[in-house]
Amino acid sequence: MTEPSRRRSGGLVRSYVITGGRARAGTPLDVVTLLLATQNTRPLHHLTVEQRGIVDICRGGALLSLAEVASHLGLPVSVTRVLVVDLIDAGLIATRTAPVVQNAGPELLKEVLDALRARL
Amino acid sequence: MHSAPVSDGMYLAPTVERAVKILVVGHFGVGKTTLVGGLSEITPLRTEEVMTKPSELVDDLSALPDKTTTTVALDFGRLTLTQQLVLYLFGAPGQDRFKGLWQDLAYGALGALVLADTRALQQSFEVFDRVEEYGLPYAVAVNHFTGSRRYDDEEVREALDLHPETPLVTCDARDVNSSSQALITLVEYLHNRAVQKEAP
Repeated sequence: MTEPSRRRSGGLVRSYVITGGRARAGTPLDVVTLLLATQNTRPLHHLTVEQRGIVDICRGGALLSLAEVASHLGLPVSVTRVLVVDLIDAGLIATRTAPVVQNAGPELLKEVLDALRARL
Repeated sequence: MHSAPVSDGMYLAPTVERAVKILVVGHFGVGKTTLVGGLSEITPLRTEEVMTKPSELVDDLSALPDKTTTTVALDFGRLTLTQQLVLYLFGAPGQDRFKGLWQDLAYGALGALVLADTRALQQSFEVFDRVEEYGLPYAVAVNHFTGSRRYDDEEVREALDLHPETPLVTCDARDVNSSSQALITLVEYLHNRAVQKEAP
């Protein structure tokens, strides 16, 4: 039997319980920030179920965005962000991408454009 | 090895080092999810966001009575563009009550593709307000629904009060090529803008 997802269980646990009462992450992490687990072999038994879920899904160099991690674990992005920041501070999760910047330059947009055209 | 119950193809290629996002916005039922789903390389994902009302500023959710929170479902998809670059498409509702969500999504987004339906153009006004409020450059794609009347571009432009520079295309959100073309039109516009901005 598979474990019922949090979403299907109707969100019995309130967001603020999962995050320990905090609503905001200290470091801004964008929804498309790419995450992966570090090589840290520290035991995970002190982590909450949700934090372990995040570390597990990002294991082995597997790369996912913050939004994808949230979706796969059935957690709101805002909650996942708070938990991920804690895991980054604990050295268990690392970010791959540079922080998102406002106003992308022409080089980046050209790269996106060429790639989209090549798909047609 | 990961222990999560996940299928192959879920993860990004390990070479990816940059992620960008574009918002696909429009009122309910305009075809956002269809368009995002058609373009996405993964089954579109959904996450539910708990939001506070726009007027409330809170630092601590535990101090928040339940009636001031609301949840919104957010659908998104993914396109790996090159070995290094991935594009995420977020379907975003334009209603005023989703302002909190917008702040998060709009920051750093390349731009927005506004989906409109000629049978309900007035429903798009709120969407345009939101896109403009966050200063997102955008293109408009009229999603053509079977049986709906086709209007001249000029008629649509006038009805939506579009800036002459704003690109306008007609698309069929169920057709991947048509959706891709709409996205390309947006990125062409974004690229031209960025080039002009850099010119002395």
